[in-house]
Amino acid sequence: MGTVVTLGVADAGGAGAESSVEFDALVQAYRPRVFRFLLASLRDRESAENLTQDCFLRAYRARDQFRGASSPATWLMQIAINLVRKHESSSRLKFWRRALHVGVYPEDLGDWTSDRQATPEAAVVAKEQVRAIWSVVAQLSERQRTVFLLRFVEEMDLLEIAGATGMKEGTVKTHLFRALQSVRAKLEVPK
Amino acid sequence: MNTHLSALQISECFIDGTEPFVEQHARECDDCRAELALLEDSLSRFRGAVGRWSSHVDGAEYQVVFRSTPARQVSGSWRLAGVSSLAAHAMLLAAVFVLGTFHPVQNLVKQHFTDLVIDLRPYLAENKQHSGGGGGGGARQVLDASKGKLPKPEPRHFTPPRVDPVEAKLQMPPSIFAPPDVPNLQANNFGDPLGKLGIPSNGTGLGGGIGSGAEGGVGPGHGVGAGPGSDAGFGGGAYTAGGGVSAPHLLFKVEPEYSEEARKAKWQGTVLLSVIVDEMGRPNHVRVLRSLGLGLDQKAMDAVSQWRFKPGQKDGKAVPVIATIEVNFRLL
Repeated sequence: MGTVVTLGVADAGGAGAESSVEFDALVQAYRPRVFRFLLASLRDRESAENLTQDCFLRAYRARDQFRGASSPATWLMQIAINLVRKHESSSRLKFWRRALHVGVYPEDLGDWTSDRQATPEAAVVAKEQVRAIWSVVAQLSERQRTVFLLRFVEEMDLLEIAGATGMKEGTVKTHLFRALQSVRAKLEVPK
Repeated sequence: MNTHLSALQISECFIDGTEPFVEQHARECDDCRAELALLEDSLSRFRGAVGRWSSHVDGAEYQVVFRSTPARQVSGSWRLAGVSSLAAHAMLLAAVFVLGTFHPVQNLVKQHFTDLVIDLRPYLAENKQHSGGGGGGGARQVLDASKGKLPKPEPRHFTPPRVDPVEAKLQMPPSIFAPPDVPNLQANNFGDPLGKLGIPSNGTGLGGGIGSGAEGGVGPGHGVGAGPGSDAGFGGGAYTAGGGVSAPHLLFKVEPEYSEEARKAKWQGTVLLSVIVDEMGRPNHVRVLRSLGLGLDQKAMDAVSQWRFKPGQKDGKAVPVIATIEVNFRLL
């Protein structure tokens, strides 16, 4: 198998054992979602791995402050979104990110479409659709992309998105609408 | 139903759930239905693609396990660890020392490290001018000692030299007690190298030997050496401390008495004495270098004569050494 990275976090007291068991369960349940969102946002496996770790580390450190006002998924997504924002605005990585975009080959999401299509033509069409959306998402602004991914990949509802992004529901709606318009415009071109 | 769904309405379907009105329109209008289906298909395919990509990337090469393991507890006590470490080191050191007591190990060490002790004596500054000695002799003759070569320097002295050799069956070659590098001259007969050429004479001195001195040496001094000094060796005087000659060390001391006159006169001061401490540690040839008077000089000399010294040494051997002694007379 691959490398197993274990991140040890020191427990402060005896109460840590119980909470760490709970936290283990949380990680097991939500890690794939967080990683998927970060991967789709950053399009870079390494960064996504790192930020996923960061996300859960922050969550672990701040687990006492989590009052259960929202669902754990929303809470973790909130942390992940903040991390993405920080990552995007980090000037240190700007150069490398630009290099990556210009660079060798951007990830072709079309390769990951389902093969179970009726005909080869349908498969090609499906692939094209996915590529179209993927390219649109790349051009969206950071907020629109986040909202779009949360809604259509993570399938969160408006309230959850509003909670996770810290935006008002109306604002979320507006961003989603604009993102969808862009996607539609792109999809209708072949027609 | 001529009007199709607006962009906002279509978006609403995906954003906020479908409203009954839109649902109804979608059933009736093929265009709008196709539009919605296309968008829905695309989005679900996109979702599926992202999910597949993510799970593939996440699971294939990497498996990042996030485990909140508690920090490892330190077992045992620091004190115990420190003590055991100390004990281990002490045992190691002891083992090294025990090994060092075995002779094979010592021999091995000696083979590898030959010069463990460095002999510093060759590097000590020699005080040639002062580390001397002397000797003298004579046979109470009228004439001064005649010129000749010095006898062979030997570490021990048996026979005093004579200008006119003694007729004997078994000759003991005459010698002087002096270092082997005594300057000498080439001559057939023994004599004083500083003497005058002329009729052979053993000199005006006494005690055997040649010259105007005493005690069986050669020259005007005292002793079995050669030259104007005393006791032995060559040159002028006893050894002085320094230059490879260690100073004598006082072992036994007698306090000088005050003379009656000096006490009455409340006379006080310092008498400076020069003594030659011989190989046995006894002071000889006590002389006054700085006098104080009123009988104190004599008292000081009497006291110092009873002192005993550890003799000064040159090259590990006891030698006579000149020492200067200050004797203080103070009235309390």
